[in-house]
Amino acid sequence: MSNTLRPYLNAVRSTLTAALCLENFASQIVEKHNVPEVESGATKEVLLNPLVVSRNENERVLIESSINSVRVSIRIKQADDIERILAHKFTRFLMMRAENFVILRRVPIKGYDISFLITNFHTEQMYKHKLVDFIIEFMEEVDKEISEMKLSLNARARIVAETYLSQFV
Amino acid sequence: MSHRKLAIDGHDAEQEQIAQQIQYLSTKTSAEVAALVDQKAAAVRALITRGSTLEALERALVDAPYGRGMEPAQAANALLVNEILMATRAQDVAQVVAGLPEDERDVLLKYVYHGLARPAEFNCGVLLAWHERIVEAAGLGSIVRVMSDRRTI
Amino acid sequence: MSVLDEFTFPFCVTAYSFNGDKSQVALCPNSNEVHIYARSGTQWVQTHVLKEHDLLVTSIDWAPQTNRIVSCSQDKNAYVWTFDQAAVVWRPTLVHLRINRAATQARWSPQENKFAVASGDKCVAICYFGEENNWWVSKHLKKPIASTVLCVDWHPNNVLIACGGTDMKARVLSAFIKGVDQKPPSTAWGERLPFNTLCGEFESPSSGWVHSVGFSPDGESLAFASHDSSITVATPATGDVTSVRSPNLPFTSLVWSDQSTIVVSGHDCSPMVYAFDGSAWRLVAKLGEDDKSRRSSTASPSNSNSAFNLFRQMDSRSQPAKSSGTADGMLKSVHQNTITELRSDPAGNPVEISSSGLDGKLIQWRVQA
Repeated sequence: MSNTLRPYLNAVRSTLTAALCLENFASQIVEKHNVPEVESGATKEVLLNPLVVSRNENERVLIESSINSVRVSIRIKQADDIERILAHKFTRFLMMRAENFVILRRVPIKGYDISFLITNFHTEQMYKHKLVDFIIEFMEEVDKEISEMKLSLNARARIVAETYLSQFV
Repeated sequence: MSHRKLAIDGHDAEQEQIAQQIQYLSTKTSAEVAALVDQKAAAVRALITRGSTLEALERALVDAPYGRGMEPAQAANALLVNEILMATRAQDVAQVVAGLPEDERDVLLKYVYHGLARPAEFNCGVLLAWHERIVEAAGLGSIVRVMSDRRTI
Repeated sequence: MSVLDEFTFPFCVTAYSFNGDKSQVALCPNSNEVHIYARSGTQWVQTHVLKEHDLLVTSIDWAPQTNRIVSCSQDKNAYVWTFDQAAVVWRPTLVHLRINRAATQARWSPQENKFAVASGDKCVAICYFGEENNWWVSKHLKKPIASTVLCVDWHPNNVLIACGGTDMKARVLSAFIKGVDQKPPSTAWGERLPFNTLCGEFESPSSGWVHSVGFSPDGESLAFASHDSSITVATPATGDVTSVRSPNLPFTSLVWSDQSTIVVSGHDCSPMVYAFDGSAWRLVAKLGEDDKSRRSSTASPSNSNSAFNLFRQMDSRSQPAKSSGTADGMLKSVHQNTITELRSDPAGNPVEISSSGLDGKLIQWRVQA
């Protein structure tokens, strides 16, 4: 399984680096406004073709870019019901605290578990390569985190079951 | 029709011009294009069985069906390209990519992304390997071109 | 290919312009202000702050001969600033732009009697001084432009102007103002040139937004950089339109160094030099990356082990450390973030160019032919 992880993350990294070519762009629809064009979607010509990179049917990343913003949506691996619940709880926890993560979007795009919105203001404040590193690291960590949680959940369940059943021995 | 129900914003000459520019429209009809792809398919499959992957790939990528209303032909051509990608041995990938001219690498990358967006139909492991080789050879610029090119497949 | 001068400001430099002898620079610290710095030894010292705009200043241009500054902003306004010697202040004059969206770029014409302001209002405002009203008035180039104009550049004959924008086309238009301009001699671009004549329209192979346009020093060719990572050079006299696909990220600014050399820069952090070798345009150098003397002199002791760290990282993570750079997170290039603007020398020296970046660096380069 892990032999496709590296090419997957590399493909996401290169696609994201290519997408993160942003500049300050004032709205041409509403005067004196400056909105993330990928979110407003009102000016079609400043949107680029969205790209999807998948590792398999359960894991994929959607990268939608525009002249001043990029939206990255990640579908986290969910092999069974427990992983599904854990992924849901975990992403919900993060998204409720979205303002602390700066680039996190409060609501994911439909079909994905978590979304990031990176605008030109973020690339001005932060190094671009570090932003890419952050998202890749997040993708690595979230898988690890969820499998760990699943293991500890199973271990805990086993202890509970053993303790409960030991009274009948 | 009542003029009050007209959406004025939808009737903008500039917007129409932009829309035409964004959506690439082919001069051929979809049936013609589909027939062309079918013709190509036989020749390409013959080349695959003979083992000349590079030639097959070049043949399949030349005048790929672009634009709206070409979905059947596009899907057929994508399957054709995919067949070639699957038939190539992993160690030959870099060599084949190196043999392609610059503009066809960009077209090939479009097909790779097309496949990556449909994990149920295509084998992503192989496509990811191709992706890596193409980006090594053509740089990040080729990904940017896939994003910016309005001639989508 | 070396760095002549490097200075780091503690803010993003989003737009800047040197004065004629490069003793002063006007720059925008990514805000609604324009700061003027004067040179003092190796340092830049702030002398004036020009506060008149309400929103982000998008472009600044300092006319080298007449010593006037034009600045434009996303608040739809442009100001022409003139220096008051007696009171030692810069005085603004509002320009009657008549645009309803953000202004994106302002450039003085070669004779400095007109300037062009590109805007998100799908037009380019050509501004000139109206004697009877005693202020700067404008005429709009509107006709074939369908979307935001991102860049403009003047032809050396002071009449033609090139513009490009998010409608993915680069165009050459006539900005002839009756009463201001003399009738220009005919060029390869056209003979009769009333205002708003379309003299050429070009598109890049994969249709990206046009980020920067530039006329060659003799005005015979037009080059533009677009968001599909390509440079296109069009020469109407021969009908040639050639494109170079770059393996790098898109370029956002482009200047001609001489007749067969173009310097581009953008989202990759090094300016790159393209040269015409008789048949095609080829990448000949990346500025700063092959500059070993500079690197070793500035590298800190911990940096000297970077190769070791790189391989150790590759070993421990079993993956190649991607182009993101070395172990300490620094890029190999001199700029550490996107280059915002590339300018040619205001005095016209072809081998000196300057660049500014989101990392706050203002660098002067020497481009050797």
